[in-house]
Amino acid sequence: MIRYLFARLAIALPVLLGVSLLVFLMLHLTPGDPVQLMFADLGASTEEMEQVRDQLGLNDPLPVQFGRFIWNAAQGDFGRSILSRQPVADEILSQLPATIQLTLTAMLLAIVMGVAFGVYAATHRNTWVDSTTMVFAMIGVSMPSFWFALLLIYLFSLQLGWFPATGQGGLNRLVMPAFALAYPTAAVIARLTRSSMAEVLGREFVTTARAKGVAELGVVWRHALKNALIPVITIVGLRSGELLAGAVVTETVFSRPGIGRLAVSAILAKDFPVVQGVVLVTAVAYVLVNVVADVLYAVVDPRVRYG
Amino acid sequence: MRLSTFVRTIILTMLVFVAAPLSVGSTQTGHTQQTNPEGRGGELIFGLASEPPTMDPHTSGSAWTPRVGNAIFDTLVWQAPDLSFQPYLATSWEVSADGMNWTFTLQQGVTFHDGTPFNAEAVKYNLDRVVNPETQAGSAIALLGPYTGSQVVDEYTIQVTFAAPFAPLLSGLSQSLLGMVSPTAAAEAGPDFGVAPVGTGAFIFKEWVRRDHITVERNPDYNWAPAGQGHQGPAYLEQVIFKFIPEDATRIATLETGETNAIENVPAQDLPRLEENDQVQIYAVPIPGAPWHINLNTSKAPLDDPLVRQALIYATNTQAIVDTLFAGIHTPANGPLNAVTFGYSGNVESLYEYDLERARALLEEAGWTMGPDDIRQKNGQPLVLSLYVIAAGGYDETAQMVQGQLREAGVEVEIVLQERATMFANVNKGDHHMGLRFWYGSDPDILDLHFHSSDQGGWNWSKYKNPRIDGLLEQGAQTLNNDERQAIYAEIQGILMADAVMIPLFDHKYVVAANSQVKDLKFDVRTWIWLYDTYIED
Repeated sequence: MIRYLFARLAIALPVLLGVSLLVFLMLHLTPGDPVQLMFADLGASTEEMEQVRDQLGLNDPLPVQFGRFIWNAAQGDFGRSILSRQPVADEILSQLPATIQLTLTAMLLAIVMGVAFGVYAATHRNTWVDSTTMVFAMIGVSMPSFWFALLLIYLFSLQLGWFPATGQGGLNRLVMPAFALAYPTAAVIARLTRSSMAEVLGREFVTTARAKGVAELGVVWRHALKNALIPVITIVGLRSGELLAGAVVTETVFSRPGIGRLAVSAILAKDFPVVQGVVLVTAVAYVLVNVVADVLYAVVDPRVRYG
Repeated sequence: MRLSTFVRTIILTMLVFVAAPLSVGSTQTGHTQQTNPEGRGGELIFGLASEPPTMDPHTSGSAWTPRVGNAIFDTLVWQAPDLSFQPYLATSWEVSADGMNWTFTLQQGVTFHDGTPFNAEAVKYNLDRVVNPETQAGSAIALLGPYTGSQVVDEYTIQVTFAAPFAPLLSGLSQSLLGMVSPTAAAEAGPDFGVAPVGTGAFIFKEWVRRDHITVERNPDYNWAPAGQGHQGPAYLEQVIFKFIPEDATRIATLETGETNAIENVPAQDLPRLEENDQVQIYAVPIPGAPWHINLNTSKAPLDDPLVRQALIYATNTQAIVDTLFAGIHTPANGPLNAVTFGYSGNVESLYEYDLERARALLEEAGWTMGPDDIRQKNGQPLVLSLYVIAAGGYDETAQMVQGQLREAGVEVEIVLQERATMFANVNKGDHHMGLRFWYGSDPDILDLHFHSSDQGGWNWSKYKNPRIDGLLEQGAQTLNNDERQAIYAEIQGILMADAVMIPLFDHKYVVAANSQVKDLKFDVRTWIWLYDTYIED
């Protein structure tokens, strides 16, 4: 297992390098000049802008710029943001906790709600409970998340005044954003759990367990669930990328700090160092989550062994 | 390990991650406190539509830096509502006969928030800092023009020298871009000064939580407000929190829930609802600079023909656009400068008006006759023009209305919607026939940036090349006599409009909505928020 983990992490390095190169090329080869954007409101002459570009090293040939980025990144220096002149590492680290808080809460909520409702629907198949749950699940995968977020603000902030609409800090500012972010993923998990569970509950070993006299609760939660979870784990691993992406929309609508919003504003401003930094961090997170998913397979299914 | 143990561990770990930041989270308290004898004070929570990229006034090119920066930084000169220049950190000034040496006498007893004394040395540091390439200033450098250096005459007198007479100087020195920063703090912090600004202003920077808010608190030692204010001494407000809420709907909601007591950039469609609410007051402040306009690329056929360009202006009904899209809150424009801008000349008002017949006649005269589908053509080519627009902020709807109006004259408009970076890159290259935009500016010298022939790849979106205009622009920058200056810029505006370099659309306004408890919320001549006299009434 340990050797397997090392191998997985070693492969991650070329992946990260490739991702960085791809993003670098996309940023530099698409039209747009961060310096002109920086002075768009208050204006600056061509000479002044050229001077700033020189200072920032933006007139150097592309391989030089990329090489400089990789060389510095390998030593932990991600450069400074073009817009704010702040170290990229500081910008990202200051925004990361809020996004982690939001995404982890949303993932937890999604798994708990999704699995619970999915199991319940599977064990009460073809009843009104099942139908209602699946209707809500269908709404969850079809509805745009920003619309749902605005709806929550309208209902719970404006009309009922239960929660503040914006910002970060305190449980009351986390509830709506986490729920808005979790809902679509919970819906996917619910539907998948339901069908997976239904299939597992039809298998021979379940009939055997029931015949042996195991209580229904034990049959479902101890025996069947482990088997049903395997496709769910896969989905959660893949959806983690979507959760990070969905965090962008949620953070914008609820005006929460986070790397989602950091990424969007950096992309729009063509703030190269920040975009590169955020992409790298996100790629690392994605790699880690999927390694964890793979480990979970081994935990859940004793037949899986890594050599 | 057993699945249940594993799951339990995971859940506990996740809960720790979730709970830890919660325990250090902060919630805003919204109650006001009255502490001074007149009973004025309170806390203002202002919802901004965007976050300033940096709080260093010299390096920023964003309008949000001065919106927050006005509270933290003072300038040498103050521009009053009547556009005259008044004492501020400089008590008086005079210029030499040749126009190249300015002497400023500075106010005494002024200190920066970190205790550094404000004096001639500090002013010299500031001006030299702006022009130093390492500072990476952009917009601020233009405000100093042909600056060559400053000399400290004595502790409170400084002489500033230029390579040529520079008329826009006082205007520049009154702008937040040339706000006075603490030499000690700036030298020590280097590029990090942008996140820890230190000035002499009525409010002291307290904290900046990125992507959330900036907090400033009252400077108890403040005693050097500019002329014409409602009181003396420190400001009334105890604390101001600038919150960044980019989503329009959310920002308006915060005003209604009480999470903010003032917000900026209220979309036009929400104005009627807010106007009916007697708990809310609306401020609509005209913004100096250029009105919303469409630059016409004079280097690209068929817009190289002035008759065609003039026809486009006659065919545009700006009043209809203002009434339909902006609830009538803006005013139709007539020239390259907004009516409230220093140097605006009324002579442009008589040049054009909405006249569809005239437009059609001009196009006919230019050889563009009606073709199939009611689109004009000439030598078999249909009259199709591209209109480049940023995909945000109400520009796209305006473009659509213009498209509809020009269609009636037989001109087909192709709207090219792009995000800012791409649009700028394309317009720089001259891919466009027309480009929609506006810009901020306080001195007519800003026309140099946009219409001087030397700038063909930057802000000169009309790709305009007119030696006469070049000469007038240079002359305008060097003429110190106000009346002569006005005359020069009047001529410039007249020529630009006669040459139809742009379609002026409307003079737009900065729209702010505030809770009726917010009193004396003011704006400086550039419409940046001015909070010195503001207070919250219980």
